[in-house]
Amino acid sequence: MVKNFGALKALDRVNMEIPRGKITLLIGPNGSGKTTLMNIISGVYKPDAGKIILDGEDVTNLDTHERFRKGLVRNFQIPRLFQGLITLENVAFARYGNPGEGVISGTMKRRWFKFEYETLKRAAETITFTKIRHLWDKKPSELSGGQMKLLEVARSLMPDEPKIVLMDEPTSGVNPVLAHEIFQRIRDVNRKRRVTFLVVEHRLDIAVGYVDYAYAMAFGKVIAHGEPEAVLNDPRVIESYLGG
Amino acid sequence: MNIEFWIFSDTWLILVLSYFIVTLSLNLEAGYTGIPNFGKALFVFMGAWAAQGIGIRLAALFMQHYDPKDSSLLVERLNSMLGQNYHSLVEAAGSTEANRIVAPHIYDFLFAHPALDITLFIVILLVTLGLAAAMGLIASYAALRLREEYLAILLLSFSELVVMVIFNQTDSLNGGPKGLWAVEFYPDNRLFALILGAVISLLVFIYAERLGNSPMGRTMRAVRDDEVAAGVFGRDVAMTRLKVIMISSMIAALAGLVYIEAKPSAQTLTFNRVIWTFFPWAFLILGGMANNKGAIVGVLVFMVLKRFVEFYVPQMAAGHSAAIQMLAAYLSNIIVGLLILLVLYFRPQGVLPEKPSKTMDLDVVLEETK
Ligand SMILES: Nc1ncnc2c1ncn2[C@@H]1O[C@H](COP(=O)(O)OP(=O)(O)OP(=O)(O)O)[C@@H](O)[C@H]1O
Ligand SMILES: [Mg+2]
Repeated sequence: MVKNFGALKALDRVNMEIPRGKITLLIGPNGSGKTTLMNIISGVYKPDAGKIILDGEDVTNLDTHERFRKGLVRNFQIPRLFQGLITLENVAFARYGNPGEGVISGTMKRRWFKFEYETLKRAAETITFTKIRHLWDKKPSELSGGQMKLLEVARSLMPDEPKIVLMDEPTSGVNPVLAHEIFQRIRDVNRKRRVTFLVVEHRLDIAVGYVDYAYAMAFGKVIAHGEPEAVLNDPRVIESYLGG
Repeated sequence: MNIEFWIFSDTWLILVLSYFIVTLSLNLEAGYTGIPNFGKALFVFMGAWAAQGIGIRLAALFMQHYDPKDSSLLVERLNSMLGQNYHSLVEAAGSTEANRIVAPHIYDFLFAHPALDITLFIVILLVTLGLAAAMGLIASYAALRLREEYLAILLLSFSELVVMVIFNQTDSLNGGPKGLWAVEFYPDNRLFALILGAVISLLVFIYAERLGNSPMGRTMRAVRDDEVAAGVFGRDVAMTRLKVIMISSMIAALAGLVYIEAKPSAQTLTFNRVIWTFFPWAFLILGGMANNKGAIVGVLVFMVLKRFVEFYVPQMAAGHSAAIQMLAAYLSNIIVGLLILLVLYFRPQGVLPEKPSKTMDLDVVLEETK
């Protein structure tokens, strides 16, 4: 995978295999290209060269919404919330497939009532889990940075049957107790529903207990991968953090 | 028919109803979905054209077919009167010179044949929707490719090009600047327009409210707020925009049909950007984007105020200098402009702000998951 921003090599021949059914941690100092990689995998950016293979299928030329429908879900490091929608709607929207999403079918409530009811219930449960239930009718502009982050995490837990979920710093700005709960939830979803996760996280002390595998990047390159403990103790990784 | 109450007339009422329809349609595009359609006049005009240039010819065709004797008699008389050589009633109905002479005869024919009259009305309704859909398709081709600012300018110029240049300069399409007289379906055409306008506004309002409070309403608002995030969560943003433009275009054209039935002799330039694009935008900004009741409130506040100004100010200005009378004539536009500025400054979300899409009682569902 190659991605340049002008002269900057944001991704410099990155080659990664994310183990199916596992939780993979992606670490690296600021600006090493982690978010860029997620943008490329999810289709927000087009790569300059390289391929994205999802479950044996080449999805490089698919649009973001087509990749989502193939089971690829992501969140955003810097929350991209719908500013006109309240918390509950932001979360409910993240579940796709409502039969009432058409200019005609939307007016036929009988057709979508059940799906919508389930969606809203699940959205309510999800925001209860991320501790923002009391903010259910607030718009994003009324939330604090940490609360926005929790809303962003709640959204990525909503879709049905994802194959892989990309989480970009899900616990930054979140208190440690809740951060552990979020990782516990990621672990639950992974173990019970066989969902693959790729998680970017700077809070290594919290993350390391929940992940199965790790990649480390620096300056747009993969510098180490393997068992989480081994990667964290790799001298090149330590050096990249100290140097960055 | 001539309804008058206080200073409000039936023509004013029909204009208000037409504005309800256009503004609700613009709200679906701009308010809910964030599509800056500055070409509304074009879509409204499609409804007028369906009844004018197309409608009167179709009506002539009906008459020619079902009453060939009277039709050829009429053409003969016309030819000797005007020194022309029309071959058919359709040709005469579509020509700028003869249109006004044959139109009343065609109306009488239709009024005398209710079944044909109703059939023709349904055909014109379908033509209106079809033309609008075709224009909508062209507009969405641009809408899927351009950024907001460019799209707004493009749609504005496209609308100007089609209405002001092509239709206004080509006699064969709609009679050029003067416009062809539109087909009428009922002897009291204003009563007909009033009822049609009321029925359509009501239906469109119910439709817009249902859609706005459905999962589709939520999706439209999400697409408006962040198209990248909407795509990442599986929504086909281009398709969503396309659908909304198509349906909104068709609704806007119905407003043109209502209006032309009230004023069948309206000139082509009646369908200009100020009256049918900028005013609806002003109503929407005033009333509140992404709120259908707001759209209605915006039209009402604006139009009532405008009527007051237009009614009383010239009376006050009478007898004063020419400059003051001139100012009075333009005062309603000035007031409209000022009002928008004030609203934008003090209440940017409009009189009635956006509300969540009430697909069901959200607080009740929330309570159930304690
Ligand atoms: N759209 C863009 N245009 C130009 N440069 C960009 C763009 N997005 C990212 N970059 C640059 O690419 C490099 C990699 O950025 P990226 O956001 O992927 O880093 P990261 O590893 O996610 O860092 P962090 O830990 O701070 O989130 C940075 O130097 C960044 O400034
Ligand atoms: Mg990042």
